[in-house]
Amino acid sequence: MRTDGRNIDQTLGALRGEGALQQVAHLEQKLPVPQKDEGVSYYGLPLLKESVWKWPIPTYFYVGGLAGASAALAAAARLRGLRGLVRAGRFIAAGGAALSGALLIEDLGIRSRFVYMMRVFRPTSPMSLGTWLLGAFGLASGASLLPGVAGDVSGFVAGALGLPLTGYTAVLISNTAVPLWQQTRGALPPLFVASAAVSAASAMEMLGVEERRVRRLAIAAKAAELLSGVAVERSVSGRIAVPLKSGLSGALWKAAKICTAASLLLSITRRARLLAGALGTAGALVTRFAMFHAGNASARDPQATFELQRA
Amino acid sequence: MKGFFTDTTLCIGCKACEVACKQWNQLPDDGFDFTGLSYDNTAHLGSSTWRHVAFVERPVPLGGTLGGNFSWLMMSDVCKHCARAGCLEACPTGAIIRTEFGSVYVQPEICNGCGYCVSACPFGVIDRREDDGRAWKCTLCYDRLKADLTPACAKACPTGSIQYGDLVQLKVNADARVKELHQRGMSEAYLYGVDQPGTEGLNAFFLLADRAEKYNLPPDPVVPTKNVRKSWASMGAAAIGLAALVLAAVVTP
Repeated sequence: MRTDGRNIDQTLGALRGEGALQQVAHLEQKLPVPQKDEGVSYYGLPLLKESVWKWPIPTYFYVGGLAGASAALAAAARLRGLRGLVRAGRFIAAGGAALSGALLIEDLGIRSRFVYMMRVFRPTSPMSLGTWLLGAFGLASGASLLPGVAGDVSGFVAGALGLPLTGYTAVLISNTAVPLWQQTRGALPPLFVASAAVSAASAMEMLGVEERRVRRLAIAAKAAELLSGVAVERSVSGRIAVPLKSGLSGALWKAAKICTAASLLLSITRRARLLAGALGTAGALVTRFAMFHAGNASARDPQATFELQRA
Repeated sequence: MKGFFTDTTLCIGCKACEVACKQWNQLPDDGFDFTGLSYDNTAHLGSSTWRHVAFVERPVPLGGTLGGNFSWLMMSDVCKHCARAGCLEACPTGAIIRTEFGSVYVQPEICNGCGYCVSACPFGVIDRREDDGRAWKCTLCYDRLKADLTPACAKACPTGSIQYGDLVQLKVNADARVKELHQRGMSEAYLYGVDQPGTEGLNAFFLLADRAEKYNLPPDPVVPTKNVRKSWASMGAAAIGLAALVLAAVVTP
């Protein structure tokens, strides 16, 4: 009898072992796939487990960054009384915060337990800090939609909280054993922050508010994203750098750079504002997916793991 | 402080530890696959596999042994219960705890399956089971320890390759064993994971006879949180830069 793979006759014995609570629906488990490997390793099998996260996580990296930078932008615009920009920024921040929560819950193994994220405050875990940060940001950005002084005060709080929200996700993935993410631990946060600034500026370009000021911001942010992308490339070496050059992640990384560069060119030459915004958005989104897949590819490569440690 | 000392030179690859672990902990099987990689059809540690025996066939002899140009290396791998554990420090729910025995334990009734520990483990041990949704790994037989019993794998090991006990005593035994092997001519024998600097020691350490990479062990594992300060500093600087950029672009007329 092979019902749940435990070989226990449940009419005779009780399931009370440490693994008894494990729910089994699919018995066949995926075996690790040997990688092409010329060096010393264990049959080329991956040493690390690649991340179990799926598309909601890199999507959240984009949406959370967009929300955070939009809140900061709205707060700055409030100082100047630019009402259109304030409104748009606050709406994107609040909507983005809500969507961020939904994306993060979607990716949990047990969604109904999302509230357990708030059982503890753990400074060693960027994910724990980020949960509290996103929670506070969600409240502040939601309250910033209120009229009058309450909305303004909340808007400034959301703007301040939005700044770390754009970059903590880079710290979160740097704080793993994944070779590419760990080796880029210094260069990745500026890329994510710049990419968030591009996300917000591109959204405003598409909405067409405060065109002159938004264009200034868009040009600076897109240039910063390209430069910090170069810094990321320069911070990786040997086998660890391979995923940024080849495979799915390499193609995504290249596509992201092309989108951002084209969008920068359009913003500088003041042409096709909508397209500039769309390309900037695509570049920022694809950047997150490229880094996500590149990290997974480097985790699969045992030599990349050894190299990081032997260096 | 309790732990394992796994002497790989005594391992005969019988996989009794794998079976005992599955049976005691009532873990499901992983399907019955042939990998074609020597006698290793388990391939890795995972959510339902808490002991894994690795098989290495080498075209060179082991020092101080007979048998020509061939040698077997067999190693029963397990969660290392790191003194500074990446999974524990990454866990945002507090599901992963340090027990009174010094072991690292995942509480299934707390874990919400965020998956952060999977990427944070420098040994690739802990994994999330997709159909279950939670992360699982070796518990050092927490239930057995509570009842003053030896963990199932160590109890089942017929050659004494897996030794369970007090860490201080295990280290004394291990040092003596390395000396003995060196005297017998096996100069390649060494201890892996004792006073491991990157994790401040492993509560499950090993005696190996070849480079760590051969056994799919990381040569110099470091708990990720040891390096994360640089990342936070870089993020702080970038966030200040973003504030300056936004203010400059929006507030100037």
